[in-house]
Formats: sequence, C-alpha cells, structure tokens
Amino acid sequence: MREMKSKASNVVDWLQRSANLYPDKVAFDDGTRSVTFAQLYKQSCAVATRLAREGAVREHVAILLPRSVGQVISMMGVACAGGCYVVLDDGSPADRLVSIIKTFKPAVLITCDRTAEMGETLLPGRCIRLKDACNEAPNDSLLADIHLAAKPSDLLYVLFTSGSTGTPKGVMVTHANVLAYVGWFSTCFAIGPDTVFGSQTPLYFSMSVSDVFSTICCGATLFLIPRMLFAFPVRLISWLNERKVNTLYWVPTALGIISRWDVLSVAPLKSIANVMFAGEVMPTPTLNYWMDHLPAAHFANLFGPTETTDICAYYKVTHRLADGEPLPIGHACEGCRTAIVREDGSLAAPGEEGELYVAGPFVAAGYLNDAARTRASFVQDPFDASDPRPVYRTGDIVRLGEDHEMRYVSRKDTQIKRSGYRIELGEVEAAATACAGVASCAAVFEATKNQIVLFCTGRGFDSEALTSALRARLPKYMMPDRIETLRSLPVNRNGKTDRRALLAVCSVKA
Amino acid sequence: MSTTEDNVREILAKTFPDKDLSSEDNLVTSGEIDSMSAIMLVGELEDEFGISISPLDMTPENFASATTIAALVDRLEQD
Repeated sequence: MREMKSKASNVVDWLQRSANLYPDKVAFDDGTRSVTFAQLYKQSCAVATRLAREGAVREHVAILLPRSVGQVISMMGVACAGGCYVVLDDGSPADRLVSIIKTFKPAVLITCDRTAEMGETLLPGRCIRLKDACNEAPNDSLLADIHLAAKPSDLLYVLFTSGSTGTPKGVMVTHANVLAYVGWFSTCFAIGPDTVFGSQTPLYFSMSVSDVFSTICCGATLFLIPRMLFAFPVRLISWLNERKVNTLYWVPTALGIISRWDVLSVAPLKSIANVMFAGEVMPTPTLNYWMDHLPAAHFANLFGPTETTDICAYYKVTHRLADGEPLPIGHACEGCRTAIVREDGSLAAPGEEGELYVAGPFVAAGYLNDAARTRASFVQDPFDASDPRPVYRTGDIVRLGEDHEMRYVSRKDTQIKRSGYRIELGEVEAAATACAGVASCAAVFEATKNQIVLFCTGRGFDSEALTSALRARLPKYMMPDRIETLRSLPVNRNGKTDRRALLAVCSVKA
Repeated sequence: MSTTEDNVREILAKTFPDKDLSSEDNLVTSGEIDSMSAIMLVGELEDEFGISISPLDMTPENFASATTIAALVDRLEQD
C-alpha cells in the first residue's frame, strides 16, 4: 500500500486509483448528498471541463459553498483542471472575503444558489454554479493532457490563516506537500477502505486536509458532520453510531462538548476505534473521560501549523496521564524533521525551551504574494547550509521531555488558539482600529476562561459601533468576548503595550 | 403567553442579542443554535429556573423555539 501511495505524483492519481478500486463505495456524504468514488471522479472531470471552457486551466479558482459534498467535488474539479483552489468560509464577513479574493486573484468563483449573490459581489461575471458545472460532458483528452503536464510542485490550494496586521495570510500548499503529508497520516493511523470518518472541521481549515485527502487516497468513507449536531450531543452520538463512524479527527473543544455534558454515560459510542485531535491544547481531563468510556480505542495528540500542511509532530497515548499532567505534543512525524532552536540560533539542549523549526516535505511553499513574511518564516536551514529547501519557523516555544517527547510551552508572539481556531490578536486589533473614534487598542487572551478581551482607548466611539465594525471584518470565531474602555493602555519599560498588565486588569474586573 | 415563556424570551434575547426571534422562528433550522450558544443558553436556563438540563433533553425539538424551550422548563420544574 505504501509503494502505491508513493507512485502518485498528483492527488488526482489518488482519486483515479480509488475510483478504479472502489467505484461504488461512498466516498463523501454530508447528510443531504452522497457521492461514490466513481461519481466523485466523474463529477470532478465535469467541473474541470467546465473550468477549461471558462479558460481556467492551471488557474486560481475560489470555492464559495456551504459545508457540503459540493466543496469536495469543486476541490477535485479544480485539481483535475490543473488549478489551485481556495475554499472560502461562507460565514465570513464580506470584507474578509474581499481581502482574500484580492490576494488570491481567482479566475473563477464556484458558487451555488445560496452563495450566488455574495459571489457576484466578490467576482462579478466570473461565477459558475456547481450544479451546472457537474452537468458538463467531460473532455477526457483535454483532462489527460492537463494531467500529463502536472508537476508535484504545482500548487493544489491556498489556505488563508489569520494575519497579525489584519490581512489574512495565504499558505500555499503543493501536491507534493499533500502527497507526503497524507502519506504519513494514513500510514501512521492505518487509514484504509474500512475507515469511516466523522469529520468535524470546516474545509477551509488545515485539519480537514487530513481526513478529506486520506479518504481519497485510501478509499475510506467520510461523513461531514452537520455543525448543528454539536449543539445536540446525544443526537450527534446517534448520528455517528448509525453511520458506524470509527475514526474521529476533531479539535479538543469538540471532544470537550461530549465530556462536559457527560454524554457517553447516557449515549455510548458503538464503533469508535481511533480518536485523533489537534488544533489546540487537549485538556488531560477531557482525554481521560474519553479513554474511560472507550477503553479499547487508540488516542493521539497531533501538533502542527497550517504551514506544514497540517501536522509536524504527534504523540500516541500509551498510558493514562494524571488529570493535572499536560499531554506531550510528541516527536516529529516520520519523514519530517524538527529542531528546537534557541534565540541565538543554536540548538536547545534537552529540557531547554526553544522555538520549533520544521523541515521536510510537509513544509508549504510560502505565503501567497507576501515575500517579506515568507522570508521571515520560511528560512534557510540553519543547520545545513547546503540544503536549499526552506525550513519553517513555527513561532511555537516547546521543550524536549526526558521521554524524548516534546511539550508545548507557549507562543513567541500574540497568536492564540481558541476552540481550535488560530487567531492573531493583531487581526482583532486591526479590526478595532478601523472603527472611527478608537485611538488605540490591545487584545489579550485569558486562557483559563478561553476569552479574548479587547481594550480600547479613544473618544467618540460607542460599544455598538465598535461591535458592528468588528463584525464587518472578523469571522464570528474571532470576535472578542469582552470589550473594555480605558483612558490609556499600560506601557512596559520598552515602551510597548504591557499585555501582562492588561491580563491582570482582566482578572480584577472579572 | 405564560410567564415561563416570557422569561425564556428574555434569556434568548440575551443569548442572541442581534436576532429578533418570534415564537414562530425555528432556532435550529435557522442555524442560530450552535454548540457555543447551546452551552450558554443551557447555563442561563439552569441558573434562572433552578433546573438541571441533561444531555438527553438537548434535542432540536426541545430547542426549536421559545415556546418549546418554555415547555421543557415547565416539565423539568415539575420534577
């Protein structure tokens, strides 16, 4: 199986192979629509042919659709047309989508009836309805030509992530990145045709790359969990049991919803064999709850930024940890190389804190149209001057434990994770600063309460106007939980905003 | 309308401040309720009415509208 994986040079090879091996097996199902591998391949070819008719071969194509099988068909359609896609968040405010479109510069935007109006404002005259595209008669010889010209270094997608100055950063990921990364993921967790995923993360986040592409690679089946079910946890369990879902790759917050409601005591999971999680710190009590209720299942903590396709280090849980013991983030994925680096650029000693650097084939191709930020984060390998491949500086501070497993310490900067979402506090601040009357502001994250608190100074703004200004620029998951007004922001000895002092203010006011 | 429903409406207004929810509106199908707002809403309901809402009570039918939530609250208050 491993050899077959490495023969692929493009994700379309994986889809073709699975369509040949498992034509009538359900590949993706969103509760409304279901596609088998044969259907997915055929519809992807139709979409690709339609894109070609629009002149969009080897072009950037944006996808604006609700959470659905349609997103996957569109993604693979763009791949069959040799192009590079971006999956847009249909719940994002218009301003943010405009900013992404401005950077991504798509030739075409794929929409549906629900998103058509928004699509027309974003890319007027260049929108295609997915259902029309699926009816196109595939042009096999054109598609074969496109496939022949494809290179592993071709971009497959750009994934936008929170930008500290307010403009989202587009991480460019190649076919080679996905082939290498998913090759690792599917081998490490023994993904195969018997795997049934219950997928939680949106398709515009890097975690979805793992379950979506390992499904395509290995002939697994993936059910997209309707978001609404997380509000009704017992329903969610029945839904998973009915579909015999055996593999979960969720953010800890989602797993935490189940443990918080003690759902598994009244509604046990019948088929789950593998639970992997990533995206934020996994509280050990949550893990212990799940392990107690699923004693035969395998659990693993995965760690990594979007810039390494999804994951660069992992830890398979081998024993029960005490509730107060933090879970390790583990060791580098096979095929990936990590280093813990001191501020002076030398290697940290075991036990010493340092910044995590990642090398290898998972490292993305940089930030789209942002040479400066790319240069800053994707650097020459500090330990091998002869290796031209860039090494990614994660900005995560970690240390190696005595058991040779790494532990997460903190961020180097003001990036935070809340409910699995990566948020640059600077992006929240940029949105606030755009509100008339706001003189200065600072956002801090109270980790214990999982709250973003925004402090503002200035006159002539009221909380309603500020909240509207924030909503116009930030997706819901980035909105601050509290807004406080100050006469001035506290400053430290370096003249920079004293965020520690602000956090102290938070706990006093609470 | 009963006083329970009035109180529930007040709590809904607090949890979903920008939405104008009439008793006909379906919180579930409109997509208003998500996991975060569900947890907040349940917290408020438990505090306000001194009831305990089990995960088995967390169903789309019970949380469809102010009317159905009030009915759930009344049922639980009787226990």
